[in-house]
Amino acid sequence: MSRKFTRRQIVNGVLLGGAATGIALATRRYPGEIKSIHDITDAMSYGLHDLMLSGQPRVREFTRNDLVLDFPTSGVTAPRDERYQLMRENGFADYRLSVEGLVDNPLSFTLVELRALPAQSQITMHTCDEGWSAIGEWKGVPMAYLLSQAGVQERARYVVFHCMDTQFNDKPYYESIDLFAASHPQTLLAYDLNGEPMPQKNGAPLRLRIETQIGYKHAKFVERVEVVDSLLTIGDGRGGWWEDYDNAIWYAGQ
Amino acid sequence: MNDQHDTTSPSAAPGQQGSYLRFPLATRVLHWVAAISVFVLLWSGMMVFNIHPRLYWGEVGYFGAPAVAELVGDTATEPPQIQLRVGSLSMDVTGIMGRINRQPYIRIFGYPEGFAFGENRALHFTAAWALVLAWLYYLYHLIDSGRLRDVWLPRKHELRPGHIGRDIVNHLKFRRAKGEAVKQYNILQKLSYLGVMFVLMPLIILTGLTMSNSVTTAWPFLFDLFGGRQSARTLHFVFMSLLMLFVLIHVVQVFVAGFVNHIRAMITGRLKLSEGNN
Repeated sequence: MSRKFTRRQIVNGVLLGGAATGIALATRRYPGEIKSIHDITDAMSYGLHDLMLSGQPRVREFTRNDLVLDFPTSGVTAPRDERYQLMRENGFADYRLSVEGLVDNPLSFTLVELRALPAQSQITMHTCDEGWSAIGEWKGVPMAYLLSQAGVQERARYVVFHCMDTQFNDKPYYESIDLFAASHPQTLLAYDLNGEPMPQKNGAPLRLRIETQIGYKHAKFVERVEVVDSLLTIGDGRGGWWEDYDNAIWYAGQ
Repeated sequence: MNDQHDTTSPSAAPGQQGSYLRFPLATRVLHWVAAISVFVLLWSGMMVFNIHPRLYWGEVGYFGAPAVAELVGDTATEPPQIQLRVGSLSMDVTGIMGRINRQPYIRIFGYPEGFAFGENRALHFTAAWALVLAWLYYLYHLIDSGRLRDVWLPRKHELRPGHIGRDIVNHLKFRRAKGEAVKQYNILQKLSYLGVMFVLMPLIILTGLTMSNSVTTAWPFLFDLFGGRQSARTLHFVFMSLLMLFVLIHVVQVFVAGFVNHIRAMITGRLKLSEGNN
């Protein structure tokens, strides 16, 4: 066989092979099951963005002149759960944040103890997937610090944020990000917004700030941080409440 | 004969029979991939827009902040009346745009069902991947095959104001190219294809990417380029509208030039040269 290929055919072959390899690699590291074409393109965005973010660049920060004081919100603004309401009436004195799962030292903090940990403040833009955006000053504990204190085990891959607000389909809100995003220098569990304790509508007493991703990842009313190696056994297995309920895509960097 | 083109072939004659290969395979496949993706992007994009139908300038924008354009629903009536407000202008768009009870109502064969906001976003990104990959491959094809140089780029004499002026008149009179002249793109066609491929597409893609948190974390200059996140979102709409204007004119032109002949050419590749045969 001495068949000759044209240059165009060789280029096409290389491009097609490269694309197929890229897509195969991307879908292999996607945490959810690949059930639709949207999961494939989501895996492609996830893979490409992780390459772009490999140096963990920081997001822009603004000044206090840019703050939006009455901060807008979406989703649940007042959890209907009695347990939450009682806790809130009591000034969250009974509130505990736990860090558990695949960690060597499970942690538990009261709000007072959380506030005594090394804190970080940042003035950043919150962007909602609905389209709105606003700038706020967030203060809280860096996720990287909490994870290092807990000692993440070798096989851990994701961090799940379990929340106190039950949604209208009677399932609790939860969200998840990978360890890479959780270790971003601006990823926080925030307890203050614009210099005040977190308002209820914005997620009191503690919410996630994951600046490299969009609104629905920024779980509000967080009470339990679980480090896991797979998302398939949590909720309906797609990595978050919106993902389970509404086929939202898991990777929210886009 | 009204030959609107300077043609290199003196043998061009009205009523010439036969056909020629107008579109290579790559052009045909990518044309339909692009057509379907643009349709899905428009559809899913409008449904995503419906959840927050307001446009802003600068970095921030939310209910309560001033908007440059917005859809306002009067839910006191049944069905709710929707007004489109741009500056001080107001227009009734009930039934065309807007949302009712948080449900997107641009459904096709019942899809998407229910609330489906997450599904709409997913659809938008899937179609965006398809369009961007098709666009990138077509850039390579245009340059590598010589089609950009031979078919798309204007020749010097075509850029003379007199020539462009004559071509504008021909278009306004819906005067069709005949004979051999059909084989060449006219100057307005060349300029609009170049504009879409090399100006509008990059602008639409980049304004879209400026709404991605991780892309702007890696490429913060995008914010400076478009004047902020909300400006980029608004410009995404402006550029999308320009693309839709192109699509509209493009489809009208297909009808003017001969619908069956040109659609067939974009499927089989071959365009019949005979006159009046559509």
